[in-house]
Amino acid sequence: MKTLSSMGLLFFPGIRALLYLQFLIENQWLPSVVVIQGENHLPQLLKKYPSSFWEQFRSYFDYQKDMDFYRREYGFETLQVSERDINSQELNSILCRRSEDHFIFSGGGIIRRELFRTGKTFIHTHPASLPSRRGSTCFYYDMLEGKSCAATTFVMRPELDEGNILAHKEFQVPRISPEWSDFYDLIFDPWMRAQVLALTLRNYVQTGSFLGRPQYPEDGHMHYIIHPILKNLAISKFLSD
Amino acid sequence: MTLYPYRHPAPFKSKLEYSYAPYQGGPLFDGYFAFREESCLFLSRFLQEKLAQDFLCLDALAQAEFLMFDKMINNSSCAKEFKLPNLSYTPSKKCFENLVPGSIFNTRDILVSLFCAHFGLIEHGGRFDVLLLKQIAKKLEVFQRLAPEYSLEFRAVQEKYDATICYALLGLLSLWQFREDGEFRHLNTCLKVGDLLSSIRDEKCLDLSSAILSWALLREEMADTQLLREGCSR
Repeated sequence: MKTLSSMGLLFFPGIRALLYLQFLIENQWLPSVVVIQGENHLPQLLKKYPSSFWEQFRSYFDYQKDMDFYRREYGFETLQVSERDINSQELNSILCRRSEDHFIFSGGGIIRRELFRTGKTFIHTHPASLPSRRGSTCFYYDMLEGKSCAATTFVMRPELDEGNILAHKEFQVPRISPEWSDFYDLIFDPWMRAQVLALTLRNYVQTGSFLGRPQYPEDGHMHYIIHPILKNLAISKFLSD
Repeated sequence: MTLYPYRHPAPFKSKLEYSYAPYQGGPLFDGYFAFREESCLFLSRFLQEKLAQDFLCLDALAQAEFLMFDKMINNSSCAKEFKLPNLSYTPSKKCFENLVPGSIFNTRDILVSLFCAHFGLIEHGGRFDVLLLKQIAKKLEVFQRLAPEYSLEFRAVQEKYDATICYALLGLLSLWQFREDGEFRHLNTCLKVGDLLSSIRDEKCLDLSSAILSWALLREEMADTQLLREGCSR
């Protein structure tokens, strides 16, 4: 295992953050520090679905390995903050004291300018192609068009979904049966992101820096939370017979 | 049948939660169509009471060519038929050029201009029109409501959001954008507008123009949704 000494993980408790950790570890990397944002609600989420649901998609997300498991097995440094909000004063103070230059963002709201003033670089993975599809629930818009989905890693800036693009990859959308349709939100979206994050970190480990290409917002369009009718249409396109 | 869950309990005031909407399949579509039909019926009744003249009775309205939107392009009489307010209003392109920071503009006037430009009744503002529509759609998507007036920086001037005609115009413009470029983000705006207009049951929120446009929007939106649904089930 190699510890990425200038890289921390902002762990917003949930499947996305766990998948980020899972993919880091699968690639033999450990973050220098994991800052856990607030309470862990994952057990409640896991209970909401039958174990057959989680078993069905275990090749994507190993639901039996939680933060305690990874901490016990790999012994990385963890810090706990009380609030889930990415902009909490407590988190801001911690980041100011830390030596790591870069932090992987895994959720907790939209980063405000105050957090950027800590001088840290925040790495985020967006579940669509950038700059063409900015905004929310973008992969459903891809699914509606019957296309493959994509994820893009970029360096965050105060403007939403802007900043240099670091890596991008497209994915075939798996077909599923209707009763497992929450798979797309819960597992497929974060799984795509984790794959592209791993790709980004591979480049980072090789070059020692985040080499990106600029993106221009005028080349794309903002997308807003998808309407349930469109979401249903999008999922309908990928239901197995 | 599933009761359509995306009804505004208090139109123009409530905000619906669209995040993490569950997949509900057929029952959601059935609920959606039933809700929209119920709303069209409410609007029909309102219109029947309002439209005294025979030539504008609702049956005629339904059959009239001016509701076949594709045929409306370049038909300069259609706007008159629609009895849109302020159609004599001079298109505001030049007014925008003269606006200085701190100026205020009227949301309905802009939307009517865009509406008329769509039918070639006035000169199309090109990229400027697209940007304006984008800004107004953003307001609807983020706040689920539209203010009657905005500053040049697109900040609401007053806390009043019940100008029904603005929603209906935005919905129609978004639907036509979707038909033109096939971008689902426009249909997304249209469906959210549709949820709001369908939730209106208070006649005080309606006038003739807004009721006609709302009715037309809901019918056209349903037609597109039905086509998409059939496409998915094939």
